[in-house]
Amino acid sequence: MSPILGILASGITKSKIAAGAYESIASASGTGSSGTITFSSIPSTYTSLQIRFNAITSFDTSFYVRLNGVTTSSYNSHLLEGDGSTVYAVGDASLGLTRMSLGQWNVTVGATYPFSGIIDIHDYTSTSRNKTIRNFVGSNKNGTGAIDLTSGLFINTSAVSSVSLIADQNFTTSTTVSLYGIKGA
Amino acid sequence: MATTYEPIATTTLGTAAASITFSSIAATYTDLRLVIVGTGTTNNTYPLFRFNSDSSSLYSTTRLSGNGTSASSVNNAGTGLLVTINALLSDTIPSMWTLDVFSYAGSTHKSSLATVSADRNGSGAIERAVGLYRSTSAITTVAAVMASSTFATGTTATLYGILKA
Repeated sequence: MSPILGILASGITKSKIAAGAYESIASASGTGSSGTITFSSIPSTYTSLQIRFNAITSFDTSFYVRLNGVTTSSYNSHLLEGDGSTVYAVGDASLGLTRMSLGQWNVTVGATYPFSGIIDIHDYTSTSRNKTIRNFVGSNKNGTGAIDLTSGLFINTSAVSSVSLIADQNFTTSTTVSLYGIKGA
Repeated sequence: MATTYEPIATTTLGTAAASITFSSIAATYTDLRLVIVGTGTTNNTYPLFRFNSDSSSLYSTTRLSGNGTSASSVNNAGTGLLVTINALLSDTIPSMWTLDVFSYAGSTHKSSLATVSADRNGSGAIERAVGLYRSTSAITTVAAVMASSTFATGTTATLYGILKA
């Protein structure tokens, strides 16, 4: 890799920084005919997982994450959302959701402008603790938009070996989803 | 497996500068992350983020802010990504700004997520923002341009590339 720094400001120095233990595990693109993208057989060699996505769907729709293919009522979350005029703080603890929403109120995947996000799943290999998920997602649609911070709980002590991103409309081929592993010391 | 979170370039300002620009960015990566830690030469200033040296009105953001007392959310449209409501550059206490640019080399409109962390020992603010750059061209230049004043000496900026498998 060749550094390609171009600095317009003056009086700048530069140096290289050592790379960290952040590894790409897998990536996928939308097919245009499915609203689900799944990473399965995730190795247990990391401390945390991170998913980065840039999604576009055929029509505006909600967006969810599901772990290990579990469709029982195992997902709860709290979120903080801003939609450009109002701030919402919402808890889903009483709902017992069958999948975790990535945008509870106004954040939706759209057909024109991307919906982007970063999902962190911590301590995913534990077989004795439930799993904590952190989402930072948003979509601006040129005049409207929303941004969500979500703390999610997957009430399941099994190690996570499968992660699915689910939309209720098909992901276009412009959709990219990448799974990364973060190593511990 | 390959390590895929790589520093592309980093800078530390030796003199005050009105902007920090990373240009000729290769299309090698999936996403970009820009991290700036610094101060302004004037108190309560802020940068706009621009791509490809484009200062036309193709930028919009939705911002979420907490200032220690209340939370607010505001939309913006303008000639650069404005990612803050309350968190501004201090002339003494450094703040941290990050900008994740997704699928920067692709042919879709460009989406980004920003954070600003700006505590001032008794006051301060935290911000999150989602940004849209309505261009389908690949991004080859990323700039943080001060709306007024300049970044102070000692401000650091690092551009990372994040590569998918």
